[in-house]
Amino acid sequence: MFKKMISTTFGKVTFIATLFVLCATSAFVFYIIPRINQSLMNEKQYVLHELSSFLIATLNDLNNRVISGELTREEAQDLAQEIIKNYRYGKNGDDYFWVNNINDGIIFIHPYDTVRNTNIEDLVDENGYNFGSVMLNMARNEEEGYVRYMWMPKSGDTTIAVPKLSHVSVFKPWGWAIGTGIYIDDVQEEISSILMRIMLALAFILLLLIGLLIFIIRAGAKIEQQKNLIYSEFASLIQHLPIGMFRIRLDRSAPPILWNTALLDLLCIPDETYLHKPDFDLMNFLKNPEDKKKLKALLLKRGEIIGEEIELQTFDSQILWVKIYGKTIQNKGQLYFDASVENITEKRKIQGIMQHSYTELKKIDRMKNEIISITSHELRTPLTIIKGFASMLANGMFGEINETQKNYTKKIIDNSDKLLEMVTNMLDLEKLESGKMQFDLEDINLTNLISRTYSDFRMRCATENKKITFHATDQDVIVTTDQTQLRRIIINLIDNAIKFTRPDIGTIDIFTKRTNSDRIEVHIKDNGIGIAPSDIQDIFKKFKQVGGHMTRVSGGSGLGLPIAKKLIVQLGGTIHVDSTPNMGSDFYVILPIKK
Amino acid sequence: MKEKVLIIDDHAEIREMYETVLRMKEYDVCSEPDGLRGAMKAAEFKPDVILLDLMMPQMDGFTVLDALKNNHNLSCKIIVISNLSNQQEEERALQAGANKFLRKSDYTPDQIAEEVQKILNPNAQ
Repeated sequence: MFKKMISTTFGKVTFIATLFVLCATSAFVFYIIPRINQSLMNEKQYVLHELSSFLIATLNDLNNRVISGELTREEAQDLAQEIIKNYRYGKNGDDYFWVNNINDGIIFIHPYDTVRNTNIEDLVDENGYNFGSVMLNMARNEEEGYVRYMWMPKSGDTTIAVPKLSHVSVFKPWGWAIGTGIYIDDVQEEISSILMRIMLALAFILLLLIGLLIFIIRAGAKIEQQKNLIYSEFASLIQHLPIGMFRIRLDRSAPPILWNTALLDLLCIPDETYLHKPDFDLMNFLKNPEDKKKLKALLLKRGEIIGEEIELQTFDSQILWVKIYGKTIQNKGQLYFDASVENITEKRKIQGIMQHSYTELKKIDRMKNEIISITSHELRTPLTIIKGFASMLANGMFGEINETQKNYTKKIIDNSDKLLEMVTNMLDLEKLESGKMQFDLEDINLTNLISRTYSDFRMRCATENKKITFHATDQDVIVTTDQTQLRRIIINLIDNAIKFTRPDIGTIDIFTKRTNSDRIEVHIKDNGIGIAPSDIQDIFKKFKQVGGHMTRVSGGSGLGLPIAKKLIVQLGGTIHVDSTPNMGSDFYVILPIKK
Repeated sequence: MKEKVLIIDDHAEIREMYETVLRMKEYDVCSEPDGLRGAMKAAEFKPDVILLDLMMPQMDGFTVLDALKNNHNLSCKIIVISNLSNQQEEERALQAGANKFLRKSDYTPDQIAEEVQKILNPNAQ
């Protein structure tokens, strides 16, 4: 858990902060505070030393006066005793000097009666420290020195011993050890106060850090919990998927990290325990060993596999075709491969069958077209003969014929023509469908072409008493097309329009409309019987003629519109119709204008 | 002297039809039912115009065209008459030396006779 905590950025920051606080505290406790303490003590020692030096100087002065004979030794020592007794300093004048004899240790100058005339060697502090004998030894060694011990303060109402620092120096001429001391509880107090503040700060920081740590740990635990939950939900979810899924290590051969039952079923693995064996590797199921290299190379190069189809050999040696989708995942320096495997063996089988069927159908379709082609050709010859002899009779080549005979021969010729037209249409449709239709493309003036075609129908409309008009918005629209075929389409549309309108009331309006700069519409609009909405889709299909009565009226082959549609599409245009039953139809082709 | 027309077509009725009309139009007409016999007849008859079908037994129209064009003694016009309607065949026939390609079903015998006349007198109206 600690490791996990450290791994988060937040955790790292906290860890470094804790280290920093610990270092800072150690520096304070082990370095800075002793230094402060030392410097405060040095100050105190300096004061004691200076005061003692001053007193020694005074004693020296008195002794010099003894040597010069100005004073006797006794007089000088009396004077000295007076000076020392009254020599007080410190707060409230609490601090004093005392003197003891180096030889016997008897304290003979001291402000307190309890101590005066006692042996300094007997002085022991609360902790049992015999500081008196230490002082005496120092004096005997003619050293100047300091001693620290606990001592009862004489002022104030406290009864607790406090630390005291004493100074010992020696006035050799008289064998006097001169001592003085000051209480150093203020130093102690200051140090404790600094320590206290540091401790408080430290405690505060530590509290904060602990809080933070708890927060991180709890958050981490929560995240871990969530992660586990998601992971387990994910794992349970993929169990029910119909396609095999897995996660494996890509950088080395190892058992899968994640898998679902569909994968086991797919590979026919009888027992999950197989997957836990250390030498288990999903890659070993690839039928062709080179696929392993291929897949790995693909993954390392692109980071993903999209729908790669490969062959597998299952646990019980069946051969399967599967489709693999997957991605590499980089996590903590390790490379994983997450993938799904779909069994497409059946699909491929069906695909194969379908492909075969499709090829067969294509073959049959080609055969059909060939049969149509041959049949059409064979139909033409007898029709040519029927029409030929009939026309010879009609011409009166073999003697005059009467009106009825003329009428009947005309009927023979007209119907031969109709049959021939049907044959031609069927052949053309076959050519269009097999892509054998050849076009003779050239740039033509569309308005001129429509105008000529329109003129061809004026006579017929006059005879049938139908009104036909032509109006072109643009006079000079050039289109690249096959003139003959485009004309054929327009003829077919106009012919239909005339066929499906009634005499006396029928109108056919032909007009062009430019919808934008590169397209033009050619409309052939009539007010004829129209087309029912349900039939509209069928009118461009082969051998579909809409409505029973229309077939009777039209008498066409039913191939005109399908041919027109195929032609116009191959010429780069489109054909459309808007129609309302009993109101009329508006057939229009849209053609690209030559730039 | 009458202008001579040779009809090479495997359909007897077609031959009969065109022969009748062309004879009525004062041509000297001969006909043969297959390519081989037609080519042989052409060498002997030396027609001014040959009406030549394409799909025939023994020898097809294209082979006849080649044979006729390789015979330098012949200088006749050849009108291919066929009910094949592919553009390729038309192009092939014209390339092989035919002067004209007509689809039989589009023409009545009268119109065929007119085409014969037109090809013999291109300058006449």
